[in-house]
Amino acid sequence: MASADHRRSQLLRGVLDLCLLAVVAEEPAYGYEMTKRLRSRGLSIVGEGSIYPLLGRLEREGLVETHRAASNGGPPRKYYRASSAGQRALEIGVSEWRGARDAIDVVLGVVEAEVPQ
Amino acid sequence: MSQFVDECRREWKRLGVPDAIANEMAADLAADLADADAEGVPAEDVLGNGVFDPRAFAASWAGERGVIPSAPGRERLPRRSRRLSVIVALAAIVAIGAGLVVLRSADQHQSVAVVALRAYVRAPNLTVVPGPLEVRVVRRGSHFVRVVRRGPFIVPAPYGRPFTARGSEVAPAYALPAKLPFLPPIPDQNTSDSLRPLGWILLVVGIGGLILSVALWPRRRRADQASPSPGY
Repeated sequence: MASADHRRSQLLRGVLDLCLLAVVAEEPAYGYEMTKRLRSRGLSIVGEGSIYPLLGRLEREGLVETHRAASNGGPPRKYYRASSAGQRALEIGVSEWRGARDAIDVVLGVVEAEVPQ
Repeated sequence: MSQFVDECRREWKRLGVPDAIANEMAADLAADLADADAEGVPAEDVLGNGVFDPRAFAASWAGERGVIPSAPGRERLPRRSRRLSVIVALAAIVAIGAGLVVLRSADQHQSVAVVALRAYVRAPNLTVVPGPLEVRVVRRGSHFVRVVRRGPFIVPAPYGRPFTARGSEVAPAYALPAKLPFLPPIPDQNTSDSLRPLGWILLVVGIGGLILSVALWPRRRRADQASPSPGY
């Protein structure tokens, strides 16, 4: 049986690209800003892989567009935003996620489990 | 965390990432880490487990972004596989060479035997000669003699008549003068015979090397592809 950390890591690995696309589809953001937004919504990447390689992949695949702009009082930062291809990929990915989540809920919903405090 | 960024720079330089792109990535990373530090956020929150291995982190980022130039050979095969390819090629060369040695020594006997058959010159009195081949030609004074193996000995059959030795029936054999102009050079029996075992050994070694290489190849490829990456 996989440990809780391992399972969480595996789950996150499959959808972190969608989460990043969702964040930058909402509003352009630079690297650290994305990390903060994810964390503010309860998604910490502590102990997981960094978002930077994933951002590199999204950029290479044309799912995000980048531009440089001044940040609040700091040096110019590289901002990411979802491209039109990224928007489509996000919609498809969210649909797939919801389908998988619903199917898993049907299977696991019958199990009564106590959430550890 | 400037040390972390410096490590990343060194790795990007080693991988051949263009300076402009490496500088941009380093500047973004340094600014993000500075922001996190100013807010009291640990670097691990920004870099994940990549914080413990800057080189792997840098390689993963550049690789995913597609900014590592593909050196000749690097994109063809990983280093281990290239080494294995050389071993396969050497094993193939050894096997083919050894096979040629074995076949050539047999061919030499047979081609001379055909010439001897065509000549139909009968031999003088001959003696029993041991030998490994069913058909071969040996020198007897001024003649070459075709001999046929039956049973434990090679028995030359003089005068083209059936000849009985130790109760075994042998086919007719023929001899011809050694200086006939159309007769090809007679191979040195001792030399070719001594080469054949060596040829067989090399053939077995070569084929064994090929089989071993084929057996190892998929595992090597999987091992090459399974390099750990700290990024998603």
